[in-house]
Amino acid sequence: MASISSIRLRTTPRLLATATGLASCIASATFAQGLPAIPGTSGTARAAAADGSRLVKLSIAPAPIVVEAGEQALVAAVLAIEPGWHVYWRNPGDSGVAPTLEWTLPEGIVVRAIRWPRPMVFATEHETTYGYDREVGLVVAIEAARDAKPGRHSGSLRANWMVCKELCLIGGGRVDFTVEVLAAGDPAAKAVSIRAGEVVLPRDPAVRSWFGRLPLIPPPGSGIESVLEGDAAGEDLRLVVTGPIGAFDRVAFIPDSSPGTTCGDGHPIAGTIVGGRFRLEVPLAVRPGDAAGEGLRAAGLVMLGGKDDDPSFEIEVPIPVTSAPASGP
Amino acid sequence: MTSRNAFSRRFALAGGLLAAAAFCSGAFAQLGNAAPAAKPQAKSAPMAEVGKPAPNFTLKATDGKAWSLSDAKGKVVVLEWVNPECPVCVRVCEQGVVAETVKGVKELFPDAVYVAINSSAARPASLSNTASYLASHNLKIPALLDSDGAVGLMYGAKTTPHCYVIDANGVLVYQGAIDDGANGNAKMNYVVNAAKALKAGEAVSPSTTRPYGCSVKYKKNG
Repeated sequence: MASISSIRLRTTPRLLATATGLASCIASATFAQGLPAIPGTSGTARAAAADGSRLVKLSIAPAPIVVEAGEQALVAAVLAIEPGWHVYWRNPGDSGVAPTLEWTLPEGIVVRAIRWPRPMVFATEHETTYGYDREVGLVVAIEAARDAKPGRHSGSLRANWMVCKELCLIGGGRVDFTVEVLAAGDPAAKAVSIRAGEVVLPRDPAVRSWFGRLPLIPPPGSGIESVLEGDAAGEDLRLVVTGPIGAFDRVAFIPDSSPGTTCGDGHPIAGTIVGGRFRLEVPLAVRPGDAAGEGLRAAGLVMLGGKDDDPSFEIEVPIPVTSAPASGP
Repeated sequence: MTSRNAFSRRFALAGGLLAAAAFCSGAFAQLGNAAPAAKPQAKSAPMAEVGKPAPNFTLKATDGKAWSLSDAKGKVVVLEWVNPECPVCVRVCEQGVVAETVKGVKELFPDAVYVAINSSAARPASLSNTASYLASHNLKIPALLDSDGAVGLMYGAKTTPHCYVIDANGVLVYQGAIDDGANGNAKMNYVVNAAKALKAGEAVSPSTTRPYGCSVKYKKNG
């Protein structure tokens, strides 16, 4: 266990950019301050927010968060959800709103992008959504500056969510926590964490248990290939993902939310399995004018098997706006 | 919930040299029992499509009168799917987003028609509360009851609030979210943005966005 491939523990620049945007959105969020309520609202909405707050319990693991100056610590914001209800993935699908996290951190501590665990697929007669039931840990990296002051500091996390069964409610919660900053090189760091390339994993199983559900970025040598086929200016543009199926008997692609790009009809796409390899073909419709100034991309998750902690892979391929067929990275 | 054991397998995988080699060799071997089943195609694709004529429909309004899209011929029309029981709908009303959208469109096109549609056939109480809901938010706009969900499905309405903008020639030019603020932190109102583009004679961009909010409570098995 000398090293852990850092690539699987790193978010893509795109995801980081998304997270930065998310953070600024959260900073300016106007609802669910403290006890979740909507400023300027009354009656129904406030009651709904209060109800939605009771259906999900927010906690944070590990406690305390221990981070060495100049290093990262992975932390899970855990949402324990009332049975029968669910919250949403970063792309909720046909309906829904993804949860948001707003961190208040001591000086010298910053938080990185949310890493979203593999979601479940909730399909009904009229819609397909992606999310989590029972319990989910949204994982983030907390990073301490090299000159972060050693000692115990206080922080808080406020989360907002939409929680649905047949009906939907919005709510939120807040949890306070302690961040213990260790001086760089403090031997105590080894007692609480495992150095893993660029990151430090906590030894606490309460946090580590969430990592099994995090998608990987396909590492070099994984045999997973993502390419565009067809004509970006035409009608037959496709994202094709192939790779080893291992011992699994099914594979599916679920799309990310990408302005200007529609993957299939937005619903999961099942792949074929031949000779030990899977093949996923995702029809793409692109609208460059809708890309909101960002580049077009085909993105989503490839999910092997059917269990929450079966492997899944983040796929992201830029779509060049030309008439020539192009290959992904 | 993911087990520690599962983590350990992953951890071993990551610590190993090649992830693919690990799971191909069966390190992950287990058959799923909760398949991410690919959803079958919808029974029928929505007829409404951006860039094409908006399909006509006739629905009964909360005042009992019939309302047809063709009645608004020659005018800019905005359709907004609503549900008084949806907290996101309530939020956009209570934060003034809907009122500002109506105002923003009508400032550009004084004769524009802004219509609320409720397709919550699975929730009779929602349908019957539509008029009082809009009135309680001082929204003086026609409210149509899509009691069997047929118009919602024809337009492919996914959420409340899901919005559609139709130009004066009857062409659907925008469909999607009312704004880019799923959590109440909008920077752009997509409906007003579409109306501005129409006023300027420019292409509407974005013309399609992902609508946020509650699912439309369509009648089941319908």
